[in-house]
Amino acid sequence: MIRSEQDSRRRARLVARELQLAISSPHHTLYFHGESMGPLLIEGDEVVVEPVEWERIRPGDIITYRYRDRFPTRRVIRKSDTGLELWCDNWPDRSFTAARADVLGRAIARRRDGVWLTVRDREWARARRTAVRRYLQLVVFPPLYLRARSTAGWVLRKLGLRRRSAGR
Amino acid sequence: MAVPQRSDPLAPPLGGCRSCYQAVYFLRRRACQLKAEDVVRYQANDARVAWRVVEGEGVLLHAVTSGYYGLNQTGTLLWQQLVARPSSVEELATWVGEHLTGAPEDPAVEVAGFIAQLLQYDLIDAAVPGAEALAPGQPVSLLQADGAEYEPPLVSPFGELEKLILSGE
Repeated sequence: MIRSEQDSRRRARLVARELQLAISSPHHTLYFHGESMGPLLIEGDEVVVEPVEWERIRPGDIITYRYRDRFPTRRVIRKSDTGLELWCDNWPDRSFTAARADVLGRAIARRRDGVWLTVRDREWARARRTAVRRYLQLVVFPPLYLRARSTAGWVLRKLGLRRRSAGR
Repeated sequence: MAVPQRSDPLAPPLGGCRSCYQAVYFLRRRACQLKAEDVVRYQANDARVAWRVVEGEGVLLHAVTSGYYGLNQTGTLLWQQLVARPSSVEELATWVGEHLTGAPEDPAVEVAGFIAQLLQYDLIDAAVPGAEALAPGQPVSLLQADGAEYEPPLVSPFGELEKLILSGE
């Protein structure tokens, strides 16, 4: 297959950008753009992303993945054999998916105003817990709660312990 | 850099760009100045260069300068040799002659030009003497490249990357 020089250059650029991500370190940080992951990550934060094995990814991790020529960075809320479901801490009404092959790495540290915060720090862990809890409250618990309540009502009615309420 | 006289036996054959021609001449003169046991070998600059091969062609990223480079297929095979172990121009040329089809009679000229390019972009280093362990005559054949078509090895500089932006919008 004959590729034009422009295609080769574009492809090389994309590969080089992925390499840039692979070698990120405190000396070669990446720039975070946007407000969707605030307050943990905000516009202008310097971020370090490390390559991660698929088996080690856990719900609550912040993952960078390949999407066309961009590198979205979002929080994992669910993991399946084929991919990840992700959302942004600031956009709980939207979710995203990433195929397993597109996952490039996991955010492990950020620097803001010269101060480092790493995945081992309490603030990072707190943001992780808060995001997961919020997801559970908004997405998982409401359907479970409603189903459990209706099931409990049905059982109580069958047992004669509760009458169908009239007029309500 | 010195410009060779036509009568100089070390002068490479005419052709190619002027800087490559001069670089080949320089490397040849340098090689002659050294003793036989001091053959210069080169190795990939692991500490500063990240690389990946996609569909047979290599992409190199220099971590310090953020410059990125493309290698053609022969260049990629030679690069993998340099990653695997320190190699001299002659060893690489021998490997090319033995494993690639359509290689010229004296691939050392083009290999030397390729090495000069890699040196120019700080993608390889001269190996520490003693780091190399090839026995005389032992072919550098770590890769299954037999039968690949030869093309003059080439490094294409594509420019410098700006800081990578993680999209969180």
